[in-house]
Amino acid sequence: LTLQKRTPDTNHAGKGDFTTVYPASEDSFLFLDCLDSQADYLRQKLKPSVSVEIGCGSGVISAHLVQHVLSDSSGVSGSSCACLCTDLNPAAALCTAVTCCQLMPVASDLAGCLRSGCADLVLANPPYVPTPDDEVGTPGIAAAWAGGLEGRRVIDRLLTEAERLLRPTPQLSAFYLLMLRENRPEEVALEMRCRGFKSMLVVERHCAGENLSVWRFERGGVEESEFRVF
Amino acid sequence: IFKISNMKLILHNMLTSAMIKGVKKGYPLLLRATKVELQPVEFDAGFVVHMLPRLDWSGVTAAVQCLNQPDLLQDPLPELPPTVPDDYANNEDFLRKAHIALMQLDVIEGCLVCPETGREFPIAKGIPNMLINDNEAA
Repeated sequence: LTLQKRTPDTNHAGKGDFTTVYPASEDSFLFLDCLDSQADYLRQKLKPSVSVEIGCGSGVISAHLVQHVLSDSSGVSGSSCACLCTDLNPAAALCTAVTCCQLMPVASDLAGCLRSGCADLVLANPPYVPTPDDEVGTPGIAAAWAGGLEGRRVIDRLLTEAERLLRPTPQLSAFYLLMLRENRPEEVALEMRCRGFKSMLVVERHCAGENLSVWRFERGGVEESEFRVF
Repeated sequence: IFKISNMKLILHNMLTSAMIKGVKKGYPLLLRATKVELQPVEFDAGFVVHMLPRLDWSGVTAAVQCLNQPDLLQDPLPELPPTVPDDYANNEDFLRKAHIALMQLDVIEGCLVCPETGREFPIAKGIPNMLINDNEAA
């Protein structure tokens, strides 16, 4: 029985109405590999009800989560998870809707429009390239990679945003973040530890001159606890 | 021809205008829809049961009430109780109505309104735009 790797179709990104949308690239595929390797954890331990991807671009990562990682082995997408996606670029939000009709995209700066504590899972493939600070968050496709000083300007904001979005302890929650070696991932991991998250390097790859890694930051996780608050 | 997702009430339940300066809670956002369609989605009881504890039920009922406008929808809106029944996990009638409310009401055009400032956020092609100007930010 061969394990066939499936990837969501994002051929519409980077063209036409979606010219300013970052098409799936090596960094995106590394993130997909990360989710694949975390399938058991996500399906059996975390069992997310609400996932938020910040900076979804083409939507490839969340599409993969809902269609291939969280769905059952028969390939039927019976995922009991609402997958929210945000992007600063409204064209990316629309592109994401086209990529996968099960996703729930919204145009937003980070995830400022989402209520605190609403998520069990946060995903981010951020703009990580070290650039001059004035290139961060500019209109158009450059916002997809411009990370400012040490490529950390958006990442640093994401740490606080993810912490806010994830439901409070003792509930189990997880945040997956992709980083470049120049972002100093170990320092970010230490910062997350100070905020109460356990850190784990999930996957790492050297591709096209970039040393990339995806980390999981996990908080909470009391066994056998059930909280129902309406 | 692409099948595009439109805003569902589950998404509305998570949205807030709290990123605006001076807004204390910013929830629930008023829903002023001008184009809504009932989009049949296969009933999934497990999905509703799994999602319910994560939702603010009063936000759900408020949103459905906002959609109760003449000539907005051809089909009747589901009648929702003011609170989630204790036996919700086994109450198929309730779960079916909740599923329609949460997953089958597609908001395609309209706007969301901050309950404290009146600031409007457009919904176009089924996607809400919650971007604000720098001078509005908290």
